[in-house]
Amino acid sequence: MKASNDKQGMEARLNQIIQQHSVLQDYVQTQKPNDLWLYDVAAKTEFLSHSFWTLLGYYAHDEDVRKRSPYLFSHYEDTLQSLLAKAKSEPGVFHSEMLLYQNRHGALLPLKCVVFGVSETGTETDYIFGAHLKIDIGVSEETARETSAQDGNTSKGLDLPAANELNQVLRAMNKCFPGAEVFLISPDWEIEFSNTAQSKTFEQQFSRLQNDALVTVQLNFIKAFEGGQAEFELVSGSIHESFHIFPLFASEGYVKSALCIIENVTEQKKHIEALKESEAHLKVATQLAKIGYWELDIASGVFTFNEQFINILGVSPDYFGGLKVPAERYAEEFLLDEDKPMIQEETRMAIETDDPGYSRYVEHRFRHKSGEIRYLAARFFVVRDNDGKVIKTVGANQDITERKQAEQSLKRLIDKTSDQNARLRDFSFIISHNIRSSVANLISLSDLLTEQPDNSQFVRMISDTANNLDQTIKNVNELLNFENDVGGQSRHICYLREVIDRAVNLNKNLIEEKGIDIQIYISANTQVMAFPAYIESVFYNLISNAIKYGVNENSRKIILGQEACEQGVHIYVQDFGDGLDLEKQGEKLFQLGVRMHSGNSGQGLGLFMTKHQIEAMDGKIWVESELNKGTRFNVIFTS
Amino acid sequence: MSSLHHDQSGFLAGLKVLWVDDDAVFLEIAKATLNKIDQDIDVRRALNGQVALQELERACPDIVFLDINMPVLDGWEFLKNLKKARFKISFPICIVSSSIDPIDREHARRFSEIKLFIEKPINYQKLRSALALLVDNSGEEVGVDVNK
Repeated sequence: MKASNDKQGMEARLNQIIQQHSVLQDYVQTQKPNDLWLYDVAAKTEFLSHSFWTLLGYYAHDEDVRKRSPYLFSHYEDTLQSLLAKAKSEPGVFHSEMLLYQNRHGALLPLKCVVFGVSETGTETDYIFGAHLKIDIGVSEETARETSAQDGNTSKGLDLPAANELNQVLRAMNKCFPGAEVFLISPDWEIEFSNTAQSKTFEQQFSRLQNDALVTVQLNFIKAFEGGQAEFELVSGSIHESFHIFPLFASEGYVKSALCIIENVTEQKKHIEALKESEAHLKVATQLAKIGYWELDIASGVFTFNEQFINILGVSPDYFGGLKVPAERYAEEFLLDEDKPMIQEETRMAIETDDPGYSRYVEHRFRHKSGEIRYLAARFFVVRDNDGKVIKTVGANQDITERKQAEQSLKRLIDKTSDQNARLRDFSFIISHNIRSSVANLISLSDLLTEQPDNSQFVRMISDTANNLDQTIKNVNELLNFENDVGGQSRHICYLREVIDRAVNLNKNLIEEKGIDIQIYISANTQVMAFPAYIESVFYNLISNAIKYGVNENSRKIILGQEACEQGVHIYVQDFGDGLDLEKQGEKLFQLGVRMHSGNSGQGLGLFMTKHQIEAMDGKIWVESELNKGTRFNVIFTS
Repeated sequence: MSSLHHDQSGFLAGLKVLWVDDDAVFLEIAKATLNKIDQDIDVRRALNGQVALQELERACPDIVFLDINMPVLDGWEFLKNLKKARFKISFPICIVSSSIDPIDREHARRFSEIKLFIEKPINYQKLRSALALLVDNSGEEVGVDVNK
């Protein structure tokens, strides 16, 4: 029921109605009600005079826009409504019921409520005239004093005997607290009334209680006898009881007795406990699953997060000054620029959708307060107003960083394995080809030797082929070891000059044989962090390639040098031989099994291995070459 | 058609063969085997496609035996370059490889000059049959294998 905003107008209307209806004038004069009020049927508003608020313990000046509902025991809302309905359907007749209020100070205030339907047209009820009359036993000291001050006397215009009034209060209590134990007890601890047992004294009434509980109850009764009220709970065994103790004042202002209502709330408690427990479980589950809830109000562009969601972001509600966060601020501080267009598009689609069951699942990154980039999975749907317009998006977000990281590491592993498989497949093809070639040669040579056992050329060719086969098998081992080694090594400081000197020394015979001039311009303190076995292999391959393929009749010079480099250490191996046609062969150069020169010495493994070893150390290799001018291999080891 | 007929009539005398393979030992075996079939077969050798093209510029053979996997210029690159060459391709080509991949066979259909595949190892019988087919020019269809 709404309070009237047009208070003065309603008050004037009330006075006018009383003037116009002599039956109401007579009632007011004879019954002297404690307050008068008016209900406007069409507007469904009511005007309650300041006398009513005085009854409830308020002063005249603070009565504004209050409603009666918070003071009326909820069970009596229905009584009031049925009373109004009677007045509406039967105008021109008085109806009355007792309503039980609780005043500002907690004391019980039973009031007789009288209504009278007023019809201005003579047919339908337009206004309801109302009045409250105090019932003697429920007047609090303060209300009594205020009422006296205002009225100049204490109203006693009751038309019911006191015992009936008491019964009405007790009935009212039964109605408000169904199934409860209701009794009255006097300040000398005598039971004046009980709706259950026939106990005479306080001790008898509470014989079931243990000492401690008994003391608690006694203390609270004393509080009531002194004018206060009390509410508390007691547990005896598995029984939970809720106590409400109200003081009942005599007209003179002293406490006549205390009204005690005891409810058995065991079942209720069990439900509450179960609910609390399941809430606690839910909270733990959402915390463990890192699930946060959110709502986005489309009109204002403001998010409402739950605490868990805010925790996922790595902050606390204090950081945002509560649970409400403007979408712009959230995006600015927590979203990544690359993901914003996708999220904006999702929001746009959600606003524009016609689909009644619209629901989306998206994954995106966010910047945790610690600076770490983490992942969120968001599942959301839309909420519409009565016109079907989307007013909110509501969703649950889950931190899926661990899952994402596991997926990524799995993907890396799969990529690495696929890469390794592809290399091994290519390699086994080449190896099988090489073995088959050598075996084919051996078969053919044995045929030829059968016919010409003395042919020494065939014998020499058998020996060459056997050596070739041996080299192939060595390569298989080398590549298998290389595959096993990747990732299983640790880096150490390697002095490149020492490594290069060792590689040159290993090729000493060939260098001398071919009369090669090797010039090295790399200082003794040039160092890199690398896998020692790889770096030895890299320089051995590059140097022996230059010796084998980089010299001709015109040039026997090989230079190893160093260039200034911001990324790390840049070393080059340069020859001035035939050079390569990079347009034709550049792409293939580092592929497995591709040989750049004729003859039996190469099997297409060296540069492939070199490239992979350098890349395994986060370095890079590239080649520069020109036909008839020479070739230069460049390597950068990143620092 | 029977190869023996040709053999008996000495039709292979003076036959010019170019054999392209990067395996020097194998080239020696090939030459020895061909000369066992007929002492007068002229066998020239090339260690890769590039060298073979240079040889072709000098003189046109009657038959070319070609390996696929070779450095510098492999068998397929050689065939592509051959199509661009100035001279007329009047000779049949026989692929000789240690492993014949089905993909290679498919690839070979693009080149009408390829008349035959031979899988290594080679021997007297296999080569003699191949020569009979190639000289007689009856193996027009790609995929006629002589593997025995």
